Amino acid sequence: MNFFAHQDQARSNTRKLVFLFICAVITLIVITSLLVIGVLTYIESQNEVSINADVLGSKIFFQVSLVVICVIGLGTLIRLGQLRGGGKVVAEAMGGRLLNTNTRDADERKILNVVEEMAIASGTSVPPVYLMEDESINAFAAGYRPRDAVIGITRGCIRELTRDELQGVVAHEFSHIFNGDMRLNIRLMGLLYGIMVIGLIGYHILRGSRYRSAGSRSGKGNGAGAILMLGLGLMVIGYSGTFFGNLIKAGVSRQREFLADASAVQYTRNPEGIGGALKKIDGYIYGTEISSRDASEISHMLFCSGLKNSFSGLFATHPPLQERIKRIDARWAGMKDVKPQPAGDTLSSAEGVSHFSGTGSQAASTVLDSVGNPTAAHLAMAATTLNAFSPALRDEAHNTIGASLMIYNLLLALSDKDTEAKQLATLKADLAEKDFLALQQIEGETRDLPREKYLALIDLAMPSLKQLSRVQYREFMAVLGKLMMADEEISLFEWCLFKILRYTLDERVDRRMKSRAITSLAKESEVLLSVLASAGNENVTQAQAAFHGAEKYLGLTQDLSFQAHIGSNTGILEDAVDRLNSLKPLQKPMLLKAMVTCINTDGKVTAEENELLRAVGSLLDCPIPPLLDGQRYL
Amino acid sequence: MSASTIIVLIILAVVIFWVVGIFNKLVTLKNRYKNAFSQIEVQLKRRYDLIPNLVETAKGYIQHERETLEAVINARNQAMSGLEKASANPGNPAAMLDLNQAEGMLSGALGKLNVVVEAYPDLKANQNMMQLSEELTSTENKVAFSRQAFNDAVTEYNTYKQTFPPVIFAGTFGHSENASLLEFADSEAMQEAPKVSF
Repeated sequence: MNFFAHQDQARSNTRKLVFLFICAVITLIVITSLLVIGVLTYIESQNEVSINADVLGSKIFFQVSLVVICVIGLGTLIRLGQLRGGGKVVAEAMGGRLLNTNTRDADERKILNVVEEMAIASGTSVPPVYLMEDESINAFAAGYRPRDAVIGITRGCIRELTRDELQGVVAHEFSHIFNGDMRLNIRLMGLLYGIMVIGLIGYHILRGSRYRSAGSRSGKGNGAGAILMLGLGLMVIGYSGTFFGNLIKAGVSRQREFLADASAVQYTRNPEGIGGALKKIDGYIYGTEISSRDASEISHMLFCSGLKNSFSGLFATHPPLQERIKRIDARWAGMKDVKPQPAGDTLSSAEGVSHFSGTGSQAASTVLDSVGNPTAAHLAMAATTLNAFSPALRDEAHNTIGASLMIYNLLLALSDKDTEAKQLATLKADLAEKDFLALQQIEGETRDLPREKYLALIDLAMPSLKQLSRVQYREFMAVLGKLMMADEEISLFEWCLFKILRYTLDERVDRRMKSRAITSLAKESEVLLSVLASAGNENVTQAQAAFHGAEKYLGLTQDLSFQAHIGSNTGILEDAVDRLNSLKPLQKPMLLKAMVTCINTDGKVTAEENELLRAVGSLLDCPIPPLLDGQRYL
Repeated sequence: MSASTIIVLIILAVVIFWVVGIFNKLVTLKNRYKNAFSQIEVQLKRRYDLIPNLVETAKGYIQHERETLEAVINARNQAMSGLEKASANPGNPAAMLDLNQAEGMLSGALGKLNVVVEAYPDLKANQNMMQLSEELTSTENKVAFSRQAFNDAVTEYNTYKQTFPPVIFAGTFGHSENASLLEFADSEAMQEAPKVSF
């Protein structure tokens, strides 16, 4: 099963989730109605007042339904609204501390490096990492898409686990990002809030008072007691909601944990990584408990169950630890004898071979298989790439001002002398003096950088750029715009850079676009493929050949024609790609396949071709791993 | 249960959720500026780590300017303890003020040191000295930039906290104090007001 199949399965799980949710609401209404009727009947019997049961019954049922639906509906809508901010909302709610990419703390540096490698190996921007100061060993990935994804990790994790084990855990979390689980989980969190809110508030109060009373033993006994009772009371009332919430969580997300474990082994080729981590947790004195008061809200998103008294059996959010270890251990024993790995890893024999090799369609299949599916070869290459960056360059990428200056320098590096002069003038006018000086000092670093490494560098700089305040972000984009327009036109690289940056950094919430079939996006596809073909082939005839070789993969009935006149007109491209963003998820592979076939017709990959592929991939939320070593730009 | 009771209950539920929402947002904005502060902290720590090396290098050349060097070390130590207090409680007015003042003194002391170094061309040309000064400057740049982000986050928190309706609940939810901005006395940055200053 590849990326697209996984995403599809996650989507069908979402439908299952909504169905179960509706069932739960109905059941809650029935239970609450019965409860109310029961209480009223009891009161009746005590006061010897007789009420017509039938009439009362239906009236109560209606009224109770109204109240219950309103409470649940409000809770869910509000929570889903809050969660639109993406993964970082979840991390902040759990009290996570954003790790500074510039940190000198060895443990923090270690986890940041592991996350960086994983991100660059898969072709996504590095997600921010949040640290929870818990002694336990646990982790989560939250967000809707790679652009707003965050990784959360506990102190116990980075302190107790070896680098390999950390890599296993991080790979597990990344697989949640790629398999569509992350989106499913955050929706689960929002949807279930309505059902669970009363119980959650009670739990929150209870947790809070536990910590408070630990500190102040004397006095305020009555107050603390009353709060405790309130918390307990709310938990009891909300219990049935909590019950259904956990049932749904278990039903929808438990099996995904096995899948994530398996993916982790697949990405890293190292069962001892994640296996080791699981085994350590098994024997670990602090276990996996998260101290945050809201831990139960994200219980299904954690690496291991995060609550002390988690349910077992039917209601468990995670499969039993022993079972998870056994599944990996058995594989390990199997792998010693059998190569390649069973089931689902089509790249096993292609390790070390670039995904662009081979003829058109074969290459395309290989690329599609590697979307959201990095291999150990990619990981190794990512590590090499990162180490090849000079320490000074990495340092710049790791702090906010350095990262912005570095991006300006990338634009300068690709400009001819005249344009460069104009751009420098703009920068001198717009930047503070000391920043302009710093820019010139970094210039040497970026000038020496081979173009193949630009994408990795941009990915690396993302977490720093995400730290830009709103005002700073606007200024950054404004300067970028001026730099790009210095030569009166926007080159393909500039366009790709700008699109990737804006897509990942813009805080404005994504407006959900209607899913359109590729047949209604024929014109736009034509534009995209034309630009791609022109970018990779100087000769018009060759470009045309590339175009026609590719267009059949779009599965369109009508014939498209190669638009030579577009050339690399990014204005036209912009409109086309914006509309292509609304492509139906299941048809995205077709578009990508067409693009790769187009690129590969001449068996050579140019810088623009790769950058355009990567940019479109990002916009479609399909992470495309970087070129493996041995593949050079023309 | 009459219709009016139901309506009252629903309104009650709305109000409760709304209030919970305000609580959450206050917590979120507070965490944001705390996170923003830790970005500054890393850079400041780096700055303070560089200074002893700088002083050691200078000592070899400048034997007669002991007071200048001592002033730098003292100011640096003051600033370090100021930072420690501030990171325990980012945004707290007293802590921020202390850090501001300590940083101001440190910048002043470093400024005097620079003047002195100018008079000793050997020292100025020393490789180590050049590298350290260079890194110090670059670190100060990074501090300034992160500081602006911190101030933006603090402003967002303060503004939200003071608007209606959060202003009603802010006190009860433990957000009674306004967070303080961090204003270092980088006079250069102040003078460049018309330009975009990071």
